[in-house]
Amino acid sequence: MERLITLSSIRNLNKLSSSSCEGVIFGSNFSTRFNYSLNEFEDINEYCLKNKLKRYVNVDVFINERELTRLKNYLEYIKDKEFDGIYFSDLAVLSIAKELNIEDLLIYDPDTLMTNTLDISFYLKRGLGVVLARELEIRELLEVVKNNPMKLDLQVFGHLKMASSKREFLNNYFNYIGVPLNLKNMKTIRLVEENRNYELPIVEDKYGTRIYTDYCFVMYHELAYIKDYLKRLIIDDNFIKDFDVVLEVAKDIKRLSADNSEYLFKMFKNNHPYLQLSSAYLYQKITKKKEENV
Amino acid sequence: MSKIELLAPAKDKEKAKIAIKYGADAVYLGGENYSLRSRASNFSNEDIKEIVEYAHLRKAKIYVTVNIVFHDDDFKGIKEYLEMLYEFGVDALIISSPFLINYVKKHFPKMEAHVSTQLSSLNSEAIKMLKEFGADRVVLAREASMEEIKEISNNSSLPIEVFIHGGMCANYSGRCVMSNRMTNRDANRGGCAHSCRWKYHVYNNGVLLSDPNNPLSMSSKDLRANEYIEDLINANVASLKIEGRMKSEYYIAQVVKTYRNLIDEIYEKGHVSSDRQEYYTNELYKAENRPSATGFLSGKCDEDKSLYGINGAGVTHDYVAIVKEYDEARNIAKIEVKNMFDLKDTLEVFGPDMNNKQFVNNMMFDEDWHFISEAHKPTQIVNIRIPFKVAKDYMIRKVS
Repeated sequence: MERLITLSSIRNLNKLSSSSCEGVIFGSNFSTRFNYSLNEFEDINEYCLKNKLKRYVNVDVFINERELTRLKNYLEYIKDKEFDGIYFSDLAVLSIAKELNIEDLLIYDPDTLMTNTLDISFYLKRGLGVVLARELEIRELLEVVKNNPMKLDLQVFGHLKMASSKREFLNNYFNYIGVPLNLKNMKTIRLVEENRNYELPIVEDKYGTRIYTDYCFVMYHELAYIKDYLKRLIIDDNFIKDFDVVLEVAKDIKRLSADNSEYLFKMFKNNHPYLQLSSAYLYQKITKKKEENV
Repeated sequence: MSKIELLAPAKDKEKAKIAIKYGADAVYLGGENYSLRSRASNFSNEDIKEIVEYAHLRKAKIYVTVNIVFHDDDFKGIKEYLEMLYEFGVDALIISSPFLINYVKKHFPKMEAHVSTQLSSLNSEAIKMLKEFGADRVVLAREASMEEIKEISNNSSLPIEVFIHGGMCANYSGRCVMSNRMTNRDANRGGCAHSCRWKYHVYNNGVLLSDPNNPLSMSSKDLRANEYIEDLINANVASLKIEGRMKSEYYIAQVVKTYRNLIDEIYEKGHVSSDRQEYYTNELYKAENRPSATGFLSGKCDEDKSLYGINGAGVTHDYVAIVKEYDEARNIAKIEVKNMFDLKDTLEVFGPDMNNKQFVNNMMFDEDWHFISEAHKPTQIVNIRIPFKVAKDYMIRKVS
């Protein structure tokens, strides 16, 4: 079981060590999640190598036809750097990775889609890793993990991505009302639906827009039972103001057990009362069709 | 090179028949289970069998959607369902599960596996992988410009299908669970609540940025691609897909007929003039229930392609009746009323093999042949005088 922390800000790099986690997820090109320059990317890479941290690169964008050559060049660069894994969403990455003989580095993470044993096995049999869909209920999660021990990744902490668009919702709207505002790459923008009172983080950049959950997903109790059956646990620091929070989560996960999970979670909640924590979809009764939701 | 396919949606078998009658080469529909549009899936197994026979007699094809994002429990009964569809002679399945794509190819070789837009395919390398999985065709994501589609098609190892008309998701298909969070309805299994069309206030560090009287919406105008059909044909795209399994018979008839005529004119003349394009645009407007635009085909989707201030789709009341029978000797049509109209109204008739023709409604009777001056009850049967030949399933709309 590896604990991987995402690095949203290079300012927090020095806080990472092999005692805090086993690996780091970051990215540069072709990533909606990270926009490090190549120099910063190299710096993070070197730091990780020096500190014996595994390196995982995020390549999660949808690829346009014209970008395929550039993507191939980037994957060749990743190959040269001998990264430990590549998180991807577009099947073009798989196709090119096969050409470059690096498909064993690939971990498929389409955010949704990986919701059943058969599709998950389909990719696992091809030698890929898989990140489980965020919207699985606890029963489904336990079943899939049980059937695929030590093969699956799971995001275990952080705001969950809900939607991804090629459109620039914020830019379009503010142009429409005649108040042009440049809100690109800002992590402080929130949407509040007119009949609800929770705030959804929204981020707009050159790839479009992404919307996240208002709450921060956490799963101490459940993780106590399944963490050793998972291959990699993703601790996401997106929108987490204090990086020490993710370090604390990583530390707790290492010593988590069925006996202490309740205590550790209580301590964590007390330490961070401002965090809006949630078990997300684990216990949510999701209906499949409109008629069921009466 | 075979002629480009016109693919139309259908909510039930009556609409499927209308689509074929009005010129669709193929129809896609959902059974009672496994289909993403749960409210648009009204085909029982018997209905599917019947419509496959109907379609094949008229040299049309039937595609069945099996495109939900499956959870483990959802696979129950799928094997038997696929066997049944295969036996019926269904031409293709529209699928988002790679396991199912592969399974269909291995066990049902005569039934094609078309990759759903849910997998958001936007390049030829992804298509190459899908071909390896066993797919026969790929429905492209809607986020591609015309230039990109040309390049993809040129490099693609599989036939591609492109959306040309209808509703558009604001987000990449298959990757949105806003509905799950906001309404507990699974967007990827038929329960999407269209949260993207709701109204949102925008804040930065607690400060309101948006107009409180005119909040943000992520809603998109519908797609209308008549100006790109020529380019799509020249790009060797295999199929042109109309979205709208929830839509009315009138919408389907008008949209299918318009694109049918446009496609045929392009093949006949090689090109369509700007005047003729204007004509086709106006024909499509007659069926419009949300403002439309060209989506990503023309490039970036800016604010002109977004919809602000309007939530749901509007319903046109111009469509007033459908022809059930026509007595040519007496010029009397038996019609079923859909929306209100009166004596002296100017009405326009259209049919699959007839151009729009107008007449003034100057003679109208009820079912018992009493003179009437108004027809205000939907489903009412009325006899009216139409001074030219019409036929069953021709449709009538109000002009003035």
